[in-house]
Amino acid sequence: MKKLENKIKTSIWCEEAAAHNPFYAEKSYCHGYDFYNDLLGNYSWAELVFLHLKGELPSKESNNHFNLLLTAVMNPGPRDLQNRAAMSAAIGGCPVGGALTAGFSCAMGELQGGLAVEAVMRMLLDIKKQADQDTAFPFSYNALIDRYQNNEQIPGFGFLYAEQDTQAVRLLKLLQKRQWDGNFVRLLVKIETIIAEKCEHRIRLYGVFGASLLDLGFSPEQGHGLYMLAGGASMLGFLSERYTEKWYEYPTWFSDAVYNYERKSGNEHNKKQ
Amino acid sequence: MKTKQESLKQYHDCYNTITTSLGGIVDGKIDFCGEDVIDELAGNLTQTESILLWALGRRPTDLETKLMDTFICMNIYPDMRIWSIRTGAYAAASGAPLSSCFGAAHAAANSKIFAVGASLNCKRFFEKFAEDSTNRPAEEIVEEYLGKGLFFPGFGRPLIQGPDERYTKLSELLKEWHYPLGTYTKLLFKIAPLITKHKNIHPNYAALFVTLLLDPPFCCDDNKIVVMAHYMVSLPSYLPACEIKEKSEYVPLLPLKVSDIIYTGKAKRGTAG
Repeated sequence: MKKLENKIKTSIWCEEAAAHNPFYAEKSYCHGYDFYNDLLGNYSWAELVFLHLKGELPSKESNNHFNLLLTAVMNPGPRDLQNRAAMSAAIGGCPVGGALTAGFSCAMGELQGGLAVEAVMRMLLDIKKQADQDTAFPFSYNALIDRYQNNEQIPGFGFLYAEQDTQAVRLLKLLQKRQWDGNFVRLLVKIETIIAEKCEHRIRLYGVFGASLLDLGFSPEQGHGLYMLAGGASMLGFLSERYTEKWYEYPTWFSDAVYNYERKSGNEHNKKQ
Repeated sequence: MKTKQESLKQYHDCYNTITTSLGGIVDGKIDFCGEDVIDELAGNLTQTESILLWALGRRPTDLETKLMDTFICMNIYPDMRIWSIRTGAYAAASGAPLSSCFGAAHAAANSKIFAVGASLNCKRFFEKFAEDSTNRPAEEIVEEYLGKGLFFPGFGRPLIQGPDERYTKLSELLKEWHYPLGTYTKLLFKIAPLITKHKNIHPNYAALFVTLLLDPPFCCDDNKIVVMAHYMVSLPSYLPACEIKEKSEYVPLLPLKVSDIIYTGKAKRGTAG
């Protein structure tokens, strides 16, 4: 049997216990910085998120870049499923934490949520790794990209409500204008030019978000979580509005005209058993 | 309120110690409420009976199990327009893992107007009503509540008018089973016609569910049995999320047009910069 550890290892947070109380931390250090005496009051929330995940405070440039990305995905609008899930929970009087939990469950989705961000980041890392290992020149990305295209939808590409995702175009432009379009964003753009010959799919906002986070050195798991965290504030805003409403002031879709139930008869179901 | 010393002592007492009477893996055996899961429960007890073993502190009678199974069956409510079920369906439509879809639905079920929160409100109402009617006739209390314009939890349904078919059916079954009714359920049957007469609202399933749980043998003087029972009975209703997951092409769930959002905020304006 493996030796079971009973202590938690972390490189993020270090506490100094008080002499009179081993549970009470007199000092708390985040990646070496005194959190409550040096960081608190001097750095923004986003800067300290960066510190928590990367182990270093961001440069001014990286901080602006990071903030741009978090801001770009902070509000998919009230029609988005993550916000609607949170609002559906809140309109019934579910506590805020429960409504956020409901919304975050949607925000992790593989369609355009955290899992989707993680997938595009993994794909870009995979393609880059294979490209780095390939000694042939000139290197062709096409074969690699074909492999992803077999999944019908390449991570990071698709449509926004059946249209080109202009939010992605705007973020790309800003990244390019400020020269924050690093290797992974450029790789994403390159993939778009290659697949453009075969399909209509275009870069999605979450794709640019993931690629640009890779340029800042974040991992796919961190990208997944950052996407969800970034959307949390707007989710809180939309669900908070619901607490000022009566339940019937929010759509219920409770009409027979809405519901298309393709009923199987009990007998038919039993026959299949 | 605890003193500093009492609070610190509690931390020391609980350090590296988990105390439970529920069960665990002890001496290599899985034990639940004093019974060996593999040797004694498996093959002998159903899931419902196992949960009731925890709720009652003993193995349930056939009638008690039949009641809980009936709760579960009657609460199958797989309509995606119901808030919590819709929330789970939203998560599925976002491509979240199925376990997270169930998590989303469960989180949303902690609501005040439906599901767990409604049942807990109903529980508080009947406890208060029973207390108020200790020395006064129930009719007088109903009049008093009506006069004060108080809300009657356990009466009426948000989306459907008329009698609750689940209440009617369960009442019939209780008669058929010669189920021994306790104080709370008798109180419900006594005041239901009065409230229906004055407010034209009918008792709902939650009222009967909760009063049966308040009465012996359950006697749930805290909330845990109501919450646990509610989660048990709600699980089958979350199955629509499974159906959506089967549609791997991500068919949009209740998509909204831009015009479906009524904006009530500030007029368009520019930033100072």
